[in-house]
Amino acid sequence: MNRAIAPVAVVLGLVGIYLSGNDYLINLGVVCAIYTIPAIGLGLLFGRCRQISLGHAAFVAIGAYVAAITSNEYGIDPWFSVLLATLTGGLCAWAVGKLMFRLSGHHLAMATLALGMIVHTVLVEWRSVTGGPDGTALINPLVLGSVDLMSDRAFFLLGWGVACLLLLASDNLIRSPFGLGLRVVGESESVASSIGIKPNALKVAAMTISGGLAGLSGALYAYWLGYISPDPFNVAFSLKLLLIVALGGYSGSWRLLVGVFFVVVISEVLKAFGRWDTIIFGLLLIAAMLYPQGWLGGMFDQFRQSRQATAGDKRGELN
Amino acid sequence: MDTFFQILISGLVVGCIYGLVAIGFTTVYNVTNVVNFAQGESSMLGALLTATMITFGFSLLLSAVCGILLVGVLNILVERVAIRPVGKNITKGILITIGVSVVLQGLAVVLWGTNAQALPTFSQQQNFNIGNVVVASQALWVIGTSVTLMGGLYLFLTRTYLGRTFRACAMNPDTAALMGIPAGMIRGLGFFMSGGIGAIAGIIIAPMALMQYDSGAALGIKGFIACIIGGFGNPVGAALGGVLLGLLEAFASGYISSGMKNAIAFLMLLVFLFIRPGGILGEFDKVKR
Amino acid sequence: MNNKKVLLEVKDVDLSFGGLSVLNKVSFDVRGGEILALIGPNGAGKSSILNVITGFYTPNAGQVLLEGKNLVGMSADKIVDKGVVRTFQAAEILFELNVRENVVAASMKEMKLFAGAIGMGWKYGRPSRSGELADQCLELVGLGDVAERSAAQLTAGQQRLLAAARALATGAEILFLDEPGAGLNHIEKELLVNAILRIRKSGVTVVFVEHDLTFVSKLAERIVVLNYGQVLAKGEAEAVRTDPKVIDAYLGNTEINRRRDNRSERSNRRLLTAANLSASHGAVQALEDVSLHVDEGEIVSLIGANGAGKSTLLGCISGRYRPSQGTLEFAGRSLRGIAADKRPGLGIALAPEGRSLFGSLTVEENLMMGYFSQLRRSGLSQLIAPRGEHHRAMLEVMEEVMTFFPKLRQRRHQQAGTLSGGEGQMVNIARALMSRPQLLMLDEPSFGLAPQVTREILESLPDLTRKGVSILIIEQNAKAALQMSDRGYVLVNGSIVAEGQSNALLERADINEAFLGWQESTESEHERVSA
Repeated sequence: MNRAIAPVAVVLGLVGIYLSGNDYLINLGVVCAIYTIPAIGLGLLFGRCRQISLGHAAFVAIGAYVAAITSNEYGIDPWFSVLLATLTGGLCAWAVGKLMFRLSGHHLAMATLALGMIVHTVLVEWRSVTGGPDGTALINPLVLGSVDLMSDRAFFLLGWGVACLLLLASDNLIRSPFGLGLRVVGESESVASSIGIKPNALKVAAMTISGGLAGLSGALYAYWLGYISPDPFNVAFSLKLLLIVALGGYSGSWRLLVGVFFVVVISEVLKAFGRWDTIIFGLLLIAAMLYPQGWLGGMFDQFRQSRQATAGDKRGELN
Repeated sequence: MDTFFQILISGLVVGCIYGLVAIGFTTVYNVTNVVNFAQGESSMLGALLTATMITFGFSLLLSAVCGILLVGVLNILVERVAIRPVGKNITKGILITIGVSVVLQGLAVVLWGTNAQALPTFSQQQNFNIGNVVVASQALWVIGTSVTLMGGLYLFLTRTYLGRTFRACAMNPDTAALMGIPAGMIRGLGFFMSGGIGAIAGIIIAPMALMQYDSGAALGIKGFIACIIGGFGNPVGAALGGVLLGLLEAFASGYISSGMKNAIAFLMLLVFLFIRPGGILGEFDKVKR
Repeated sequence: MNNKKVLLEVKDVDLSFGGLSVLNKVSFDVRGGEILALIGPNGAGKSSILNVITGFYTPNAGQVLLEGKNLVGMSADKIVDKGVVRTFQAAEILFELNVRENVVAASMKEMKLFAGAIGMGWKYGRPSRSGELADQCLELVGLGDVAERSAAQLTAGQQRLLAAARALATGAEILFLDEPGAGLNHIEKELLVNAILRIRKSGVTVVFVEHDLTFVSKLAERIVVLNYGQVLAKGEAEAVRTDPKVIDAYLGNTEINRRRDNRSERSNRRLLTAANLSASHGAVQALEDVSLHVDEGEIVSLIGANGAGKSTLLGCISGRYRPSQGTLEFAGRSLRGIAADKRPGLGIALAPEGRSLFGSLTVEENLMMGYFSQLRRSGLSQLIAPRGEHHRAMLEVMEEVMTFFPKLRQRRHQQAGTLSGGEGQMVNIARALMSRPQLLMLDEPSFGLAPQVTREILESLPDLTRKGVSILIIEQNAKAALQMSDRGYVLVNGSIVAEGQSNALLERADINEAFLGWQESTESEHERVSA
């Protein structure tokens, strides 16, 4: 029963926002959905498997540009271009994972950071394809039947529909042998290989999934905005994703939403502070590291545990 | 041939700066095992603080000394408040130092805005002509200061008592503690030195390249790449890697295209990470058999 | 028992790290269904051979044959698939999982990504039985009751049991346990012994590395003894136990010529008093209610098997560890609250185990580091570069120390990392002496040294006491340590079981036995027989 509480609460909340008809809230909701999708992937990679990626914005950017270019230049059906973006993101991440997971610690962090910057540079410099720093507009909208999905309301439904399905799948995955394997690798690679788990294979798999989800989110973002430029896909975006995962208690499932809402809402609130916003964001990142799971995620945990205790429900996660 | 020398000199200038930033990384890494992702910000802050002091009417020298000391002290504070509590957790160390860099950049925006600041050149005379080659006087300042600083640091580490203590702490912190060497003090010293060296790098390059709130981040990444090239943790390697990277960049942008500058740096990073992760020189304190 | 089939054969395995030979032509076999113990002094290469067999190290030469098939060169997870599974010295429990999950993680042969994502994970093929299998393994080691608990709540003993259960869940045929009993108390060890016997009964072959010989004698049918990376003895447990070579390897056969006379000029002033000291590392209780004292000018030896808590005791005195209970008093002053880096200044010096030199500093520079606590008092400017009287004073102490170890004078400008083992140990001791200590503590000075060199170093120590230094020495080389000391303490499992004048301890026949641990087991066997 407890497994259902979080999803049901989330869906009810979303329906409430949709029915409220408040354009501002719905717009924020779309932003949240777009952050949620790559955060799920990063939740598996960074949260479960404890592999840092400072260049995750690169995969989101790849997804966005693949969607834009294939649909603009080659006239591919927008839905198919979204699929293509997802696959390309996954493929790139797979290749990067194969290459990078020979590294660890500081070297891995720097290599992924460099990756993010390389992709950013390519997007700016390769004008003939990407449109350079000015970016490029998407000509063809996403259409379902005869309904144009470009409005915030339609996109709210699409984005959250996808996000909820993915959360459900990710939640399942975490409880499966595969998810347990990821946690083992995250905690100790030597133990993993001592019990017959191949650390590298799992790390690459998590990387591939997270790259694919990042690509998907990028493509959706591109269609929603109808215009993309290299600018949003910077290091700060990668950092925000990491912060979301950290605030969400390093989980790959519904708890991530705590981080998503917090980061999106804080970003909105911080706009009022003008130039102080990055400072507060940085302090937040530091605090999230110094007091791990001690606040948001931890509060959520305690709430759940106290509920479980009162319900007398002693079932393990595996049942 | 003249172009060649022109490029050589600009490569050396940039290379020296990279080298100093890389030494800053090394100094902290050796005693704390933390890669300080906010290293570049020391250079930015050093330059901007000095520029502000000058506008208040202080002399260049006094302003520079104050800037260097302030950045050093700031670094000690950062170490105490944010870095020491996480201990040996590498991932947290990375994200915290990134957080510090975000905060410092934000602070720079609040204090100085997003406009670039300039420092006056150190000498009245702007340029020299050697044959057909024009050399900026500031280039000589950069090269001279860097070489002096690098040499001085080398002598500090190999000839002075405190320098040897520093190395002992880096080699074997547990045993160093048994000698009564206080680890906290050495950590603080490491952060102070790396902040000071970074600030100096920022101050000497500021008259040639304008400094603004985000200039430090770019310098930091180049400095890190220089560390990887030279051998992480090796101050001599850091200097060498910096100069090498500066020269490569200069020649690539001079003879191929200016857009290649960053590409070369990242290419070097990947080549060394995957083919020779120990860098050119490897460890500094290795036993020669 | 001898006619059991050979299951695993280790053949002429050589292993070296950076020119240092760790294993040298190691050969032995493991027979199906037996319990085999791998024993030997510290640094003998026991863990290394275990790492070679399970694929964590690649040997320079030699083979590991599992039913004729060579395992060398296979990755660690492949070897697990073949049924050869290990545990780690530190148990390496996954603290973020609960107990059952720890075990379940080991029994997953298939980790289907897609099936997992649509929620069919545990119903897919083999893993559906994982929960059941896990429960069986947990029952087998006796952890069935705590399956739902968080692994972080387990005691040290339970953690070892869990590590064994986890290894079993992989479908192990041969289980390698790396020091399963280290740091456990008697009750926990008893539980472990029973668990291992049950595991063997279930048809799994068990090989374990262990220091505690009592534990070994309760379990092992056959024993392989390693020393200096070579097989010293192997065979039936009974034969190996009584092998004089083995006894020597453990107790040391170094004869010290310069026995301590019971000099009367020794004052009876207490220098160090430890009262009712207890300490623990995480869940492991390392010291329990230990009381000892060192008088001025005395040499006191502390002997005991590896893992008995000797190093922890020195760590408490040097300030590295904080005792959980009890008091420490040095020269009439409580050490409570005094930070580790302040203690050398009080006159407490420790020459750590394994020499721990600053390898790329010269001998002279290493010695200078030892003077830090003296120099620190004279201010920061002196630390940057010692000058004047402070510099002279440092050189004087260095001269004095080098007179004591004349060999070091010739090596003065050589990098410490290039020294031989004996010279390195001299630098280690000399460096500790640089702080002009009243109490010099030595942690295993004979570690890794040849007997001749050990003798040279140990014989030089009594001279130090004439200069007013008291010495507290830890040794595995029990005989030599007692021969050169005034008094001795015997530490077993974190508690002191015997103390007294060294001569008296040396003559007590039961000390050897108690120290080795064989005796206790035969006694308990007698008890069992009579009961």
